[in-house]
Amino acid sequence: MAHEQSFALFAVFMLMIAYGMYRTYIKGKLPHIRRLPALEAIDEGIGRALETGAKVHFGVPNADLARYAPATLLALTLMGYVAKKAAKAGVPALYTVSSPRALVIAEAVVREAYTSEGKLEDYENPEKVNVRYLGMGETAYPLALANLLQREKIATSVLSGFVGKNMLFLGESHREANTFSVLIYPEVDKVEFGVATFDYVLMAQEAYAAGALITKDKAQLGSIIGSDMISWTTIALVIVFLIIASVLGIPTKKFLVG
Amino acid sequence: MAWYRSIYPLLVIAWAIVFIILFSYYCPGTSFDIAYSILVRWSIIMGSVVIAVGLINITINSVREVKKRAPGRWHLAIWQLLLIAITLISGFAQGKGSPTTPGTIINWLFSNFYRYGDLAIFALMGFWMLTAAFRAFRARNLETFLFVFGAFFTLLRNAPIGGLIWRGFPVIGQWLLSVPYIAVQRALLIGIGVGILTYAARYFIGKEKAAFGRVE
Repeated sequence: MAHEQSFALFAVFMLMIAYGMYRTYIKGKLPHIRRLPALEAIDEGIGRALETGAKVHFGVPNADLARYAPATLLALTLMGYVAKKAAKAGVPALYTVSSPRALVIAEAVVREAYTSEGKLEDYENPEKVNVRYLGMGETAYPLALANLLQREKIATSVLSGFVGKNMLFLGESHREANTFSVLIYPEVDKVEFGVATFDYVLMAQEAYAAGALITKDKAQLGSIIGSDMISWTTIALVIVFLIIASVLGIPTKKFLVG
Repeated sequence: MAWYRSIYPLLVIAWAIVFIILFSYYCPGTSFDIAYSILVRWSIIMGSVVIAVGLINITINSVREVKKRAPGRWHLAIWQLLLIAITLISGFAQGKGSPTTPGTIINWLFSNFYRYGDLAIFALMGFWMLTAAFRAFRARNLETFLFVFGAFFTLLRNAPIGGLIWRGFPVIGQWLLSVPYIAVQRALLIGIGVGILTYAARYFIGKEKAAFGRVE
């Protein structure tokens, strides 16, 4: 696709999101959003950790701020949410990342979450809160996490970010350790293994919507309306180009670029 | 809160970077390209500096475990500290050159320890994945039944014995891979693209604060 058409599409989609935000933020029309069981499972998991006196874990595998930047940043947003919940409940928590770059942000996010809940002393106590870098690479992080799940007393574990080929291994590690597991996966690679092995899964577009849902902020909720509008427009465009290609016999690329 | 400690100065920097990247993509051949390449170089330099933070974190945690005599872990922590020290010393002793330069100590360590250890561990993970696959392939409900159904035909498509048992197995397996699988994959990818756009929009207006180390 030519740059002009690509830019036009980008601008139209951005305008749709802006309209969604305007509708909720200025006009106050809040959208109806269905329940996301995986998000509710996080609260349930923290409650379970509180009852058993075990830890809550939040992990970001493949926390690459270059290749998987949106997935990693979303994971860090969710890390802040889990940290706030854990701080409020007074549950000991462990936060792990697989990249030193993400570690810097993760430490800041967790610190801010504990500060906002008035629990800075918990953050400063390594027995209560620990933000750990578990190593880079395809094998280092999953192995280190599997080891932690076996050795530490972890009741609930939430994973977010890009997982990829270690999905089955990580899912099985959680099951072996009898840990309640939630996967928030804003990607598609090996998602089927995640669905088969994790207790709760939130995937693809839903995972990005979760980032907005947890805040309960009007503008953020409006972005979900915009995202739905883009989805419907995309479906309509796919149908239109399907008809053009099959009935008129003009390939989509030829129709667009000429 | 003082303005310089708020999110806004960071947001302005982020906007500037995003606009440079957008313009360098949509208006190629302009001075934005030069600005973009400078930004990429800066990010590589900053990324290298930040690795030190990871090193400090891993060292602090290992020392803490040794001090506490954490059961089952403290001796591994000593081993980890030792390996960090050996790698660091050999890296500094090498001076110039990259770890991939043949004949250097760090290259020798990488080729003879890290690579084989990594391969051995990945092979061990393979067995664990096998048990996970066995559990995953149990049809507990409709979703897992469909999963098993797809996996059955895909396995028999790839295994030579599938075609020998019945010639239809590879045909069905191929159809499953090239029609429903690709269709679902593309739908999910489009959804992810839309999700990233909405995330970017929230980031532009300063609602997504995690990148700045803040929480809502």
